[in-house]
Amino acid sequence: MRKAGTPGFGCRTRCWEGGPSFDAFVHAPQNPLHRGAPPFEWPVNSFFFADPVSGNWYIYVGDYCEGYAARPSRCVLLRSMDGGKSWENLGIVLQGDKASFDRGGHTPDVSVVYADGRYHIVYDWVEPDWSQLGGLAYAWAEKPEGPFHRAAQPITRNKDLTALLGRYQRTYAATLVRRKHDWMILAMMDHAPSSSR
Amino acid sequence: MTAPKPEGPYGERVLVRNVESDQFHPPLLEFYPAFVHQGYVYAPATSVALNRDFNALFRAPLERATEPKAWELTLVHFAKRLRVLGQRLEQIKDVHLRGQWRDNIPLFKLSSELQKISADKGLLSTLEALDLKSEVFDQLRGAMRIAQTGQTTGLNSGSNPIALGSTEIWKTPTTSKSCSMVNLLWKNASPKSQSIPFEKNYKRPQTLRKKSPPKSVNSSTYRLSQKPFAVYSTKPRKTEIQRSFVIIAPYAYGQA
Repeated sequence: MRKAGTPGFGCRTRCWEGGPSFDAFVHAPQNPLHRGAPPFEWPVNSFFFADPVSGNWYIYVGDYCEGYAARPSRCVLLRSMDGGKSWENLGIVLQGDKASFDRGGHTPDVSVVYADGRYHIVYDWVEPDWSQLGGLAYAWAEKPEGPFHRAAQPITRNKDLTALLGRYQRTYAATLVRRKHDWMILAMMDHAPSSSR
Repeated sequence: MTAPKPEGPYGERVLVRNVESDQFHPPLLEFYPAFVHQGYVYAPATSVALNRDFNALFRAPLERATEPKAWELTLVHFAKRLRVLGQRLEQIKDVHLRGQWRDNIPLFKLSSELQKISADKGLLSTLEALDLKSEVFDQLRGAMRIAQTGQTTGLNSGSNPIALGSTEIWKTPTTSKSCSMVNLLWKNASPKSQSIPFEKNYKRPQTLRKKSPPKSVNSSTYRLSQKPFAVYSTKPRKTEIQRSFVIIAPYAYGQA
């Protein structure tokens, strides 16, 4: 769940059968599972992943500095091997690379799907200057802990996209979903050609 | 958007939820992350307005998720369906197909449960409030000429900031009595006042200066068709942020 400015985040589990609505979740007693600390005060967007192979639980944390833009954000991985009773921080699982299209910038928010022996992720990327180029990109790994192999070219470059309805141009906060016959990305769009507006 | 493989290549984007569409879409929302559950893809969203005071949960059948009309607000639709189901069960629960009342025991049990839902005044008022908000939203959208139904451009089109101002709503003096009162005031105005255009002289009565909709807007008895609205802007405000939800789209629909 997206909650900018929240210094930490917790875990909520479904407490009764009745559908995945917000009121059907209860807070885990061990919250918060992770707390922001300088220079990354804002762990904002997290993605929960239950590994069908190992049975472990993982949380991929979009780890930002306060205000998002001052320094490149990254993705940090938490793992639970006992069904969420305890968690360990495995550190950075994805970060920018100066030799890559992000030029050593931001790679915060990911979503993960396991299929055909691989762990596929789609993630946000932005150049170090928050106002510059960004978009969505793809990577894969043989284990949920990584290492993730990043595709050489991103899926979207926001500045190259045509603004839908003359307005919606920036892609971000994506989720990768596997369907019967294809793969689908659900993503946010807003007006800005970059991440600064 | 969709692709034959997770790494792509992905097709063109398709907007599935946005404020310009014909479906009710409460702005401003941010969606992340989505997830799949029992054949549906769910998209939780959090308000990103200053008060951040609501969440919304949208969903669509997974295989139809690229169709904007397949998306729905889960609570509203689910609750409405339960109420309709309860009403229809009342009509059929006494029909004994084999002439044996025992056959209908499951129907009676289900009907009993659904009656609790139908009798839930809180749920009923919530549904009515959401319906009303949806109706008001559509009315305001038309009044403000922002993305009118069936159109793609309007007052707020483009990416440039527009000093639209906070929205102020009041009842316009449309009755003959109101008009006659205005005329009387104008007749009795001083010559100096009459030399200035009427619009600059006219002051709205204090009772009509409300920054938020009058209470009657939120009342279930209020009918938009009976009371015309006007929209007035006072304070400049950037309104450029219009967030939407997109599927970056389909190979599957022959656009690639």
